[in-house]
Amino acid sequence: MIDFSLSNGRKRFCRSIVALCVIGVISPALAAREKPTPGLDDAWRDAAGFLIDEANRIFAETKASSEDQEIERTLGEALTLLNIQPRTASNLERAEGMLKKMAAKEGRAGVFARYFLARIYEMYSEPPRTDEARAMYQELLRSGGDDPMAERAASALVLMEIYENVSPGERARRFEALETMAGTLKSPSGLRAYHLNMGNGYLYFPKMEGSARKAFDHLMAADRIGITRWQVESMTWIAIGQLAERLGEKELAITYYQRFLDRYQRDNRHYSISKALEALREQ
Amino acid sequence: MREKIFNGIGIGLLALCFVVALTRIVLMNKGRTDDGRKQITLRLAHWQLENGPREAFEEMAKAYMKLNPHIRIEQIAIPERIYPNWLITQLVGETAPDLIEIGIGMTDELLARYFVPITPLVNQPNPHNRGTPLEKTPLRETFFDGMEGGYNQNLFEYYTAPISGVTIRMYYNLELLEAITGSRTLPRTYEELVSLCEKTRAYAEENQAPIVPIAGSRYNGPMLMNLLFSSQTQKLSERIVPPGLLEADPITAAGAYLRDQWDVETPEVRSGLELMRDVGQYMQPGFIQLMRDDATLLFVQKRAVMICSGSWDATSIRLQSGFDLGVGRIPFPSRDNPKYGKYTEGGLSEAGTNAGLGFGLTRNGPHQKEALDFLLFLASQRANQIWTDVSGWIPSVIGTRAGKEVEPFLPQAEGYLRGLQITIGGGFADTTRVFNTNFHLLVSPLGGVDAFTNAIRGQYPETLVSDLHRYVRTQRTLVQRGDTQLGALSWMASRQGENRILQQRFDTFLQADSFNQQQFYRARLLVEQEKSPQP
Repeated sequence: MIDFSLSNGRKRFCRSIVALCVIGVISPALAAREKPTPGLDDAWRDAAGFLIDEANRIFAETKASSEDQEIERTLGEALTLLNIQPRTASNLERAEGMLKKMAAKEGRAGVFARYFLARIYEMYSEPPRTDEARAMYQELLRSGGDDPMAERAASALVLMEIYENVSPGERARRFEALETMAGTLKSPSGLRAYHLNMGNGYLYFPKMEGSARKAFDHLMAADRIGITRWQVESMTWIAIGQLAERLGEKELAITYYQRFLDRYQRDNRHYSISKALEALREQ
Repeated sequence: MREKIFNGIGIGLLALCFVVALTRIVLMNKGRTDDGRKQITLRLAHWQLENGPREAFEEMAKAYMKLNPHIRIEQIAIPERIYPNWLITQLVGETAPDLIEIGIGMTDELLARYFVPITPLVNQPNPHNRGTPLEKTPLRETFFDGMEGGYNQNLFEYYTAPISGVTIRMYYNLELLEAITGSRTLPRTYEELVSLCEKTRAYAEENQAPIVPIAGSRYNGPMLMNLLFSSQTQKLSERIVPPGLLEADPITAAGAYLRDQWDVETPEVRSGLELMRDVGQYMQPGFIQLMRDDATLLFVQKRAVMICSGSWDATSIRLQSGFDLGVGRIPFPSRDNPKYGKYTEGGLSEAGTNAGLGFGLTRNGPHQKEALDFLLFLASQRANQIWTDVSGWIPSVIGTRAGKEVEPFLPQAEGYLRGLQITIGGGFADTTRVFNTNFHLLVSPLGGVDAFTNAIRGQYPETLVSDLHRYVRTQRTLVQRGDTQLGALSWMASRQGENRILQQRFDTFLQADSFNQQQFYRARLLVEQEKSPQP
């Protein structure tokens, strides 16, 4: 008969092994319990912080507990699919499919989905589906209310229209048509982006008749709304000063040059603008 | 039998080494200071192998360790050439040091994934500035550039607190200068520089001395020559840039070229090339084949009166030179120069110089709290004083006293913007390659401006367009990448209406995104116009 009884030393050894196994099983469980499962807020934060793969994983793995949450989850997943690495055609197709499902939704979710659908047509499709993008942006402007994302469609349309390879006459006609858009915009960010793109557009095509005056008006309008990015603000103030000088509005030119000099003292352009101001004052 | 003994000895030695190594590691980790705190080792990696920085880091570490006896600082100096590969290996392998110098090889993806932003701290005072005039000043405002050098514009976060700044200067051997000119006065204009070069040549011939006016290399030569070139294209830039811009960005420069507003034969460009050739003639023959160290060696061996380099080389040159060193700004042609005055506005402004050399806090570091504290110490006025005193580099913290030797390197606000570069800039790699491949024709005694322009004229338009194609792709990727961030910020901002910081971030992002899209469309238009011009 085999003796299964263990000596005291062996018993202690076996108990230790069992204890270690228990610790081995319990501790990961405890550790996992300490770390809460990431939620949709974490995923948005990751996406905003450029951790797109991580954000996509959370969006894809989250089990939605309500319809609203499912909409949010789907939008997040579609948005991150656009940029997870490697970027593939199938990811793009999946994103497009998800956004199309959401596009008919009411309110913010629908606007969000339609805006990014338009972006897929404009910036991701190869070749670009410009007409579909244009139609989607126009639809957003009609139906999106004053949602800033919907009104972003205006600035996208401006860029698409004016920088297309068309004849100077056609470009001038397009500029003219776009001029009417300002009256339809309501959000400050939408209006500002529209005015900046129009103003900079006129500056880029200086041979168009009246472009200096129109550029000046649009940039002034953008400045009145308020520009918060210093690179854009400094450039806009100098442009307004130079345009005002060219249009014979000396006092306004002095005001804007001085404004630039006061705020941007540590800027390579400071000395040049101070000389321009000096010359202007001497006139 | 004998073999068994040797094997036994071998295994025994191996086991001994293993036990010793294990004990060391255990002791290192288990070590405790007198006050019972656990000993911690922080590792700091950088690529600054020049004379000065390593010694400065050592002194800063000593000062910090004195305040924190339980912390030991180790610096890891990695050669610049292998830094990008080393960086990626360490980050991906999760073996990265606690603090890593941000710059070479760093991408937005790496920063976002492996580094901790320090944005929440930038509006709070630096605790290590206690007892100084900056005690109550927010961290961001303690730097001469408003901490702009530590800000990532694509990620909208601060990742580092930069500790230094760089400028480019001419270094002079004052003893040779005095022997040649009878005075130690440094040239302030290009005309005075040329006069010194001519006198040096005459002196060398008269004394049969192997002395050249300027020590050149493929590193130092173009550094000086490109700056001089851009003095000749300042007025050209003013003509081609739209209001607001003042300086020609790559799209404006490329667009103006394709619209026939300038080419390699334009008088301003030709004048710039002639200026480059003229100054190149004062460097040793064949300098374009030589490396940075060759030029430095020539200078420290008293075989050149001048050398052009960055402030980062100051301590290395000073330590090796063994003669009195003079440092001055680049002497640009004055407006009344009969040959080169016509197209220039004047010397270049350094007002926009940003602080640099900053360390990022790695996400997987085992001692993040301590590493962050050391990072803040490095950015304090006290540490910055040690930094500039020991390294001889420019300080970044306001109120830090620049020593007599550092003073000539401080950024000078007075001056104009640089004119357009013939290589366009902004990653126009093919255009740069064509320029570099033919550069020898411009500077060789048998070559000249005609030889150079003849060689590049045919290739230049094609390479410019190929660079534009690349620019369009890059810009499109940038815009696409921004979409996910834009969407996320928009979603978060719509839900947290009262979160002012988030709203501001979203608002600023919208403006950056618009600008990137505009650049994309402008570049694409240029490419399309090149393919099918409109009447």
